[in-house]
Amino acid sequence: MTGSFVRATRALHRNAGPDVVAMVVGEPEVHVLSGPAAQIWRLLAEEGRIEDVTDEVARVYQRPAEEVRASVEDCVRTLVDRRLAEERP
Amino acid sequence: MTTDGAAMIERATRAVAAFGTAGRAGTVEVDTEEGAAFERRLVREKLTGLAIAASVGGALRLPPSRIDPLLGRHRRAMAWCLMVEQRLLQLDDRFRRAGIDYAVLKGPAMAHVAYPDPSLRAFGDLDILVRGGSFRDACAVLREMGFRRRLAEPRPRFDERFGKAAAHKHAGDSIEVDLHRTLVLGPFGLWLDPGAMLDRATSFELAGRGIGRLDDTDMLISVAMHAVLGWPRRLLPLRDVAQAARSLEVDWPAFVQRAADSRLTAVLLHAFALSTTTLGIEPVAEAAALSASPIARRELLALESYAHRQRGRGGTALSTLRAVPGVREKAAYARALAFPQRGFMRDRYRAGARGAHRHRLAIPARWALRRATRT
Repeated sequence: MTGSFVRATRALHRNAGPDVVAMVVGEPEVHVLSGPAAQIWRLLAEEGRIEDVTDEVARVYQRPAEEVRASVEDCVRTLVDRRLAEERP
Repeated sequence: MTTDGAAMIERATRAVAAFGTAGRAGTVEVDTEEGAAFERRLVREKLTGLAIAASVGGALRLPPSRIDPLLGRHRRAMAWCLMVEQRLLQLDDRFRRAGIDYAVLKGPAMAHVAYPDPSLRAFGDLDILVRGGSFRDACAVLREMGFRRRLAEPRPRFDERFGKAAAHKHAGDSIEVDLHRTLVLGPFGLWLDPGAMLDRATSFELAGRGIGRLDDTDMLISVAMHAVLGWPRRLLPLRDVAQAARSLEVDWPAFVQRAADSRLTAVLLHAFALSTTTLGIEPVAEAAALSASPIARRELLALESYAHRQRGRGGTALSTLRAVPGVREKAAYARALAFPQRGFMRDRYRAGARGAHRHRLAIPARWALRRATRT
C-alpha cells in the first residue's frame, strides 16, 4: 500500500460516542466502526499515507509502530473495499 | 414514575438541550431508577447526541449501567439520520432533473450548518420547501420515488392557495418527507413570502454535493417559527434557536426587517423568550433590536391562536380565515374545511369516519356559539 488514503466523498458518517456510523451513498449497509477502526476513520478525514496513520495509531494506543502496522493496513484495506475510503496515487 | 422522578428527568433533559450554550451551568445527575425513562425522553426529543456530549463534558452524570444503552440508542438515531440523508441525495437528484427549486428546512441543514458536529443534531424526517408553482410537480416526483402522500388535500388547489405542507411516507423504509409550500400552518404561513426565501437560498455540502438550504438569516427565522408555532412543542427547536443565533452568520438588520415584513416580530421575540424560560439560554445581544419594532394587535391575536387550548378548538383555522385575503378566497377556504372531498376524509378519519362531517361542522358552530355568548 504505497499511495495515500482518505475518506470517500460518497461516504456519509456520524460520530456515535467513541464509535462511528457510516454509509456509502447508494448502498443500504450501515457500517459501525469501533475502537481502532473509528480512530483510523477519524484520521482519514485528511489524506494520509499508511505510515502516517500507523504512527498516529501507535501513539494513541502506546504500542510500537511495527506491531500495529499490519492491523492498520488491514483496516484501511477493508474501508477501501467497502468504498468508505479511497486510495489516491 | 414518582413526581420527583419526573421532575428529575425534566431538569436533566432541559440541561442536555442547553448543553454547550451559555445556558444552565453545573452538573445534573440521573439515578439508576429513572435511567431508562430518561433515555426514552432523550430519544423522543432527539437529544441523544447532546446527552453524550454533556456526559463527556461533565454536565450530565449517568449511572454507569446506562452509558451503553444510551450509546446504542444514539447509534441507531445516527444510522437513521444517514438513511434520511441518502433519501435527501436521491431527492436532490430527482428535483434537479425536474427543474424544481428547493431548500431543506431544519434537520440535515441545521445539523451540518449550525452545529459544530452534525452528530449533535438528530432528525427523523425531511422538511423540504418548494415554490407553490412547483408543489404539484414535486408531489409527482415523490410519488415516482415510492412515497405516498399521507393526507389528500381537502379540496382541489387547496395546497397552492392555503396549505402549509403535505406529508409523504416512503413505502419501503417509512422515511417521511414533509413537502412545504410555506413554513407553518395558519396566518404566519400566509403572511410569509417563501418565494423570497427560495430566491435567497444557498447550499450546504453533503457527500460532495451542494444541497439547497435557506440563507443563515432565514434559517434562524425558520427554526424560531417552528419552535413557537410547531406542534407538538419540543426542546430541540428551542435549542436550534439558540444555536442558530450563535453560530450562523445572521444579518441582524435584515432579520429585523424580514420579521417586520412578514409580521413575525412577536413570534421571533417569543422564540427567544421561550428559549430563556425553558432552557435558561439568554438571547444574543443582537436580537434585542427586534424589541424596537412595533407589533400589531393582529399579530398578537394570531400568535394566541397557536396556543394549545385554542389550537385544539380550531383556533388556527379561524385565524387563518381572518388572514386569507379577499371574500372569495375566504369562502373557498371555509368551504374546503367544512366540506372536504372524500379522499381527505378517508385519510383523516381512517378509523371511525362516522360522524366525521358532523364533527367538522360542529367546530364553526361552537365558534359562533361562543361569540354569541360573549356578546
